[in-house]
Amino acid sequence: MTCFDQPDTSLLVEHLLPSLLGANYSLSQQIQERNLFFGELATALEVLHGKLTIISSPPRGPREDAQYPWLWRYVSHFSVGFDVRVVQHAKLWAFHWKTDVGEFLELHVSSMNLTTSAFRDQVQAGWHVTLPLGAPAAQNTRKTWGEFVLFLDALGASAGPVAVTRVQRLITLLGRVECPADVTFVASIPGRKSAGRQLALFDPSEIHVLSPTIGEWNEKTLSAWTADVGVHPNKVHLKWISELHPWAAVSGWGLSKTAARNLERGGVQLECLPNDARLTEDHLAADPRWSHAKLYLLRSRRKRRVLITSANWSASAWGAGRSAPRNFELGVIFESQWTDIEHLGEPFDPPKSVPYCVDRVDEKERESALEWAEASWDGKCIAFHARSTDETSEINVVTTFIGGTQQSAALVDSKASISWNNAECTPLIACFKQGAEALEVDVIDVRSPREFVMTPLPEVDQAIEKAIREAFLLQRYGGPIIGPELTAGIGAERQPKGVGAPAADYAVQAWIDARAAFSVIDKWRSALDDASADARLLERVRMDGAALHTLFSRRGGPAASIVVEELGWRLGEKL
Amino acid sequence: MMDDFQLDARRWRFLDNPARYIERESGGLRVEPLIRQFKTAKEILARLANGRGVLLADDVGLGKTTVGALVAWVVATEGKRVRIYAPNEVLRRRWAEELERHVPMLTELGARIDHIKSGNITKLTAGRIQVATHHVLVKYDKRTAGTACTACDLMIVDEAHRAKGDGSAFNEALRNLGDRAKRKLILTATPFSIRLAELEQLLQFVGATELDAVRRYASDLIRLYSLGDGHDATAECKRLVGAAKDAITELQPYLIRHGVDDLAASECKHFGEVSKERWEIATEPASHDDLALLLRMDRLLQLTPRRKGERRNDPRFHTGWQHLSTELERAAERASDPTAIRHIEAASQALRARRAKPHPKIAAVVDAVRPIVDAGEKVLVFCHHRATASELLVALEHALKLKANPRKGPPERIWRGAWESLLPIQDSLIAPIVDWLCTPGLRAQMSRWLNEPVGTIDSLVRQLTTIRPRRAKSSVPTIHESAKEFTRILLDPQSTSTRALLRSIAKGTQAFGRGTSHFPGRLDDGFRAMGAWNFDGTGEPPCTLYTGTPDIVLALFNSPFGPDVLVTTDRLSEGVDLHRCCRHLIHYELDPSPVRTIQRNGRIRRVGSWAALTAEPIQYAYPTFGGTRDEKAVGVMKQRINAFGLLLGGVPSLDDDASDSTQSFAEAVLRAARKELEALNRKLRV
Repeated sequence: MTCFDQPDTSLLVEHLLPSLLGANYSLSQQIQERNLFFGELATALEVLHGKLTIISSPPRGPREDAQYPWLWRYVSHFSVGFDVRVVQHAKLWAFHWKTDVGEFLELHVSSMNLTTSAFRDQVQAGWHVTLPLGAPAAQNTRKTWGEFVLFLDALGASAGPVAVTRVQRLITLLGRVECPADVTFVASIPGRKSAGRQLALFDPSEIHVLSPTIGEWNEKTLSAWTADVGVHPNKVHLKWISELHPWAAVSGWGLSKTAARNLERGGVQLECLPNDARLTEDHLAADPRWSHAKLYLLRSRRKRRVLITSANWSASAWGAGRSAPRNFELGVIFESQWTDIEHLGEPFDPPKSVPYCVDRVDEKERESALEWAEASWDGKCIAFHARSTDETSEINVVTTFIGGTQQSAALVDSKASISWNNAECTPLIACFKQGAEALEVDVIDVRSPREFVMTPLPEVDQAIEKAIREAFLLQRYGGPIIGPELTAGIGAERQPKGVGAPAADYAVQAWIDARAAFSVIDKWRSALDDASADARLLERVRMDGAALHTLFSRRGGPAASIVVEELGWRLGEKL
Repeated sequence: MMDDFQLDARRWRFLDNPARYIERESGGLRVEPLIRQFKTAKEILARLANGRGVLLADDVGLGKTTVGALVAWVVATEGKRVRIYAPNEVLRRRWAEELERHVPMLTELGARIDHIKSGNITKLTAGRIQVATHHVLVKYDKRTAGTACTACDLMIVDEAHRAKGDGSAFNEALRNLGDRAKRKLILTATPFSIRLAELEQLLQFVGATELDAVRRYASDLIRLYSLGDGHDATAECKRLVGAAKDAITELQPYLIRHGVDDLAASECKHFGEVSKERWEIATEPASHDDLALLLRMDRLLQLTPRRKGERRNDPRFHTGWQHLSTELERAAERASDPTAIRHIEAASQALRARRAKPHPKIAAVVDAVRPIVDAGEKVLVFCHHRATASELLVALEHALKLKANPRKGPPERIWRGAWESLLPIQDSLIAPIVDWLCTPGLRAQMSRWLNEPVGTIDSLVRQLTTIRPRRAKSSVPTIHESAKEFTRILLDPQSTSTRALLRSIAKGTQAFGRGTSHFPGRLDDGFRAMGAWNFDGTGEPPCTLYTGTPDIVLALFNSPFGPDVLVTTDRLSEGVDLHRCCRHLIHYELDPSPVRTIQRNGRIRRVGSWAALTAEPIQYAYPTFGGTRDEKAVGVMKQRINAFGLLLGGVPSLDDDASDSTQSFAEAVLRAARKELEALNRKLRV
């Protein structure tokens, strides 16, 4: 996943991840359900450790305390700027699903940051597709994705060496399925050519822009951008809000007076969005959400195409002429019958309607010399790496561990490392300091599965952690869904109840138990086969096998005894 | 129904006076059942005359054939055509005998023996009764001209429950050809087993159209078992009784049913009483290792299926080790997966250890049987599968085998002299019977019944004609009377298979146990148990298994002579008598259908049963191998028997009333509603 703002752990832990992972529990104040909620989430995340990646821009100034800082043990949070200062503004979600009916690649391209505000207060535009994956990966197939692959390559490189391997997995998947024929990716890559030229390929004669943030356009950049795109400035229609528009009351929309003046001078058509303008049926009249969508409608002859993107209308996002983009941006363009924004808005009519203009201070880029930093922990050492344009001042790093303890280190040649092997007291945050400047990053946990599992589950009562782990281990391999009725006894050394045999049924509990247990073993064995090409996953699945062995060994009875016996054979076979 | 089926009620007035009827009869009819049977026949005739068909669902052994024969004669003697379809040749013969038996008393009406026609009669003359088998009906159905061959005024279908099941050929034939009969009378003690639809089918066949309330009642019963504690038992009880009332109202015009326990005491006593206490055969429940072996087999069959969707939890695995051993060998031939091979090794090892002694359930049954046979009683054991029956029989053969026949009692020449004087040669085939009675095994058996040592033919004759076999009481026929009856049955000209066997024995071309035994059962070799079923050709058959036509086995088991224990399959669960010398029945395995259980139980609870003669209770045992599917099977049967009994009445529950087992909600409701439901069921009686 990628985002601009610092991802919000509350959103991810309480809403987004449980939803994506199909969790059975939601957060509750009730202590047992709370334990189950975090137990389920953490055990599911544990399985996916090393596979969940978020790439954002570096923080712009001091960060707020995260509610669930432990999340970054499970989800690797990278920042762009490894080699040069850039902004990560793209909003891409890519999921690789393995299901009973095959493997799928699910892609979302949108304007959605990973913040509570993005979900709660804003209206977003997005595009998504789910594609069945074929095998194996092929270069020609990958080429069909066009700019998207270049974008990913550059994004990974900018997020540091660890991130490169993560992004590379997605690029590999793109070699297993062709890009949908009717979709073209439009990407901005910092330092590369203006992305406007990608739009020129569609030969637009007119362009309608709906974007909440407008760059500091001047005559030169406007002229260069319109030249890149291939439209005359007076064929650019900017949909904008008036001072009286409800969205003006929130800080989401921004257009400086200078830029507004330059655009008008340059011939851009500023068109006033009606106060009751709605982009979707779900966007109701009393809805306080404001539009964070970045939509571009391109008219070319009889065709209309919609670009859904993360790119605001600014030179930073698009580049202009020889001026390269400074942001990573990503969008998709496709032919569409949806032309609502084309007819939305009329010319401003002062004083009845005056364009809303504001000089946004919070959007100013960080000017710090300390531009990028990363901290990672492999279970033995915490490695620190920072990049600063100030090569003379000393850089120190303070690591905060779970529980609040801290440890400092000084960087030499932009790097440092400290020994750390306490799995119960994991490093959470590294705050790099250079003079008065500070850059705080989340520690990336790159431990092996065997070491990772030694860390207690977060937010879970330690007295019942083992039972919770086992219950969800079984559930993961098709065992019974943990129900609230089991919570009372979950800490006890007893097997969960299976489905009771109805009265007029020949089923015997021992058979039900044995078949349920063997079903778990079979799913585990299948997972082991599937993991054969992935050493890390293989280790993880083997560990699950060992945990299942321990679990069934503790259960008494004939069913468990033969299950344990077979599991022992199978574990032996695969070692 | 407007048709030309007219009956003159005056012609069945004789049914009002059974005592007078018996005076004219010499075939052994008893007045008690006849009163009821006449009443039933009268009611059936009235309903037929009123345009309806009838389903007579009297309990097993209540003489439905007699009722049917009476109805058939009344209809036939009014110049109408009657076709009777019996399930097999044995029962077809019995129908013919029953019809013949009534001829002397109904001659005035016009009954004549030559009006009884056997086999295929394509065109039936008025006033004639055709007695055929179900097979004939099926055969007709396959011909295009079938309809003409089944046209009649009254069609009587015996044991019609065999027509259950949507796809059976007999059911198909009934459906296709049934409407060629103007009236239909169906006889079955068990009109449905698991699915109520079976009862519906039969009722529709006899003309019922409205059966919604019956369906509702059945679904209420099913629902009852799905309810857990916490429901209002009183409300459920009330609801159930209400539903039952409506159902009985719908059933009553078409269905007549009497249970043995509904009969008057004077009649009921001839059937014998079922023990109030359950016959418990304490079986060691499956041990940890037993269960592990069974579960391993279940897993193994999952890993090495012979075909997709193969049943893994075969009931045979739970009642003996033989089938498990066979399947294990088959799995070994198929297995290629290393895990499956390891399971096979482990299972083989466990099985070897288990097979060093009998299966726990077999051991328990053997232990339960031994004191009973030692006390002079016979025991009937039903199995559902031949492999299980085989394994059980082998264990019984060995466990009960007498080490050597003691040389007590008079020598052979005295016995021969006595029997030759008691069983005069009227038929050349009596010789092999006398030979058999004089074999060491039989002499040893009978010597145990005699009071004192005998040294002469006369003194032995005296004892044989006065002493009753198997230490029985006075109402039991003497040894001589029993031998006479035994001989009569064996020499019955109708029983061609037995006579053929006797001829072979007489010629010396047929013997048992390598020539040491004259008759099946090998008593001479010390065996006290024997088996009777069709051998499936797998493995070595048990020593005492008899696979021929079972007539001789029935004759042996119904006599006091010969083997004490008969192990058989459901081949003998229907349409045969096994009650004359046995009051102990063990359901070693159950068929899923309650019909089978009811039919099996009916084999020993019949008029003139050993239980009635000895005034000792009938004992049924349902041993279970605890912790396995076998235990569940009895539980399921209990529920099904209850459902059957609740709807139609007259079926004793598998539980005794004193059972202190934990009651389910359904059981609690049924117990509370029992009296009212029984009162409603009584409405189905005549």
